[in-house]
Amino acid sequence: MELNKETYEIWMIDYFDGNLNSEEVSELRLFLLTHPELECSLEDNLDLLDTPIEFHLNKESLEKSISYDDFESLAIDNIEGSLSSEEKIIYDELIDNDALLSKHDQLFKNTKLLPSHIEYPNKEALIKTKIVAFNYKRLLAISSIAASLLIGLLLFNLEEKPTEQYLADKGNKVLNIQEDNTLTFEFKESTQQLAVFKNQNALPIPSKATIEESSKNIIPIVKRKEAIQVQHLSRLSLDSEDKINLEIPSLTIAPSVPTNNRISTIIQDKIDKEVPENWKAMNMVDKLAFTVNRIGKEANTNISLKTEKDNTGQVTDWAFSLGNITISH
Amino acid sequence: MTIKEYNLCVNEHSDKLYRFILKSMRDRNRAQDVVQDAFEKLWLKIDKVESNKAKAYLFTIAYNKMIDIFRKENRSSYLEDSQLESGSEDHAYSDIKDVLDEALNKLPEIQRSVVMLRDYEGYNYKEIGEITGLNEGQVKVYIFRARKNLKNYLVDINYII
Repeated sequence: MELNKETYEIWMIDYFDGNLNSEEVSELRLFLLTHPELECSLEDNLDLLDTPIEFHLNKESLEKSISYDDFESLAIDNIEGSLSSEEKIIYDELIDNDALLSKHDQLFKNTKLLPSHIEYPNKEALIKTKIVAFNYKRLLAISSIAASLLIGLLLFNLEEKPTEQYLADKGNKVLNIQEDNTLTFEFKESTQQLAVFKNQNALPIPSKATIEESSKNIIPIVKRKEAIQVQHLSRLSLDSEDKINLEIPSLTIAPSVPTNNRISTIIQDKIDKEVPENWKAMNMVDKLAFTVNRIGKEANTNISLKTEKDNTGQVTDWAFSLGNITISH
Repeated sequence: MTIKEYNLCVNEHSDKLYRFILKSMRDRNRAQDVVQDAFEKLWLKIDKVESNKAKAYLFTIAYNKMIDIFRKENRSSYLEDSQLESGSEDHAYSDIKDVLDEALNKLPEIQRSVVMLRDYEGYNYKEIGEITGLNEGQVKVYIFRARKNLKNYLVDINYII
């Protein structure tokens, strides 16, 4: 511990406890000599530090008058349960026979803190249900393969069916169709949205009947946007033959859900601050986010990235969570 | 530690850890951050931390995090033993618990932490020392000072028992 004006008393206690080596004693002595305003030296006694007095109570000492300092030490020892059974009996007799000491004893007893119940509000966000541990390279490889398969599957199906039909078949609900015919879908397995931007020259525009049918349960896009406070957009431009670009918000926040809001805000801050310096982790996490989202394993809006670094700033441990799925190093 | 044991830790210790940090920091948002951070660190070390050591681990991590925050904010009182101010403010206390909470808020951080760990969590001096990085003698001294300060506060406000 660094020696300064805030810590020198701890050093003093260590000194009196015999816990300092000769070099540390010299350092402490020099410090006190160079700080005369502290009016303290190693030769001062322990009373200067307001330290408990070792006082042992027995019949003999009781017959003499005990000082108030001694009484304080005994009263605190009594609260702390440090009195021996014999001392306890004598102490009880002492306060029974002295109204003033009895009152002070009660005051000391009142310093015992009574536990009050305070509930941690985000408990459910801390609960984990699954862990998948991989090494970095293996994880990255699996993520890439999974992502590639999914993208391939998506593109294959898009060729067979209209986009909205494919997504509808997968249980995704059309949220809205914007003026420029951009469809916004909500994934059934998460609250994340997938916006499909069509190149009108490459794919047929949905028929009016299809749009009307799909729009029966429309949630106005404006209203939806109001519910999203922060979006961390992770653009994935898939320049396929169909020229379809997918833009997937990798992080959405519903302010009405405090847990998500808190976690996401914190993690968003961490992502903003930490990821640029650790681009590898970012790359991996983005792929993971995409993969996990698309696989749709019970994901909700909780997303987190926690890292631990060594002294050089290198990431040594990390945990990526999405909903109740956590993947850690 | 298994995932089940980890989740048990969340259920059993998160409230107590939050209480400890909240009463020290007096800032709900930051206290929640510290608690969340402690559990995330436990989660990262799930294979290394034994379940019977998890509570002490959580309190140690959270305490150190809190002290780091205080240091960054130059809250110099976290270590020093300034004298407790007397309760001269005009408060209408409903009971002794209110008075004690007020007095607790006025304690230097280190005194408040050790006395809370002692009374709320029932830790012994050695365990408190492990959490706060003090030796047993130092813990005893700080608890002694804390109780004296709390008691003096009760006297100063002329609280009638």
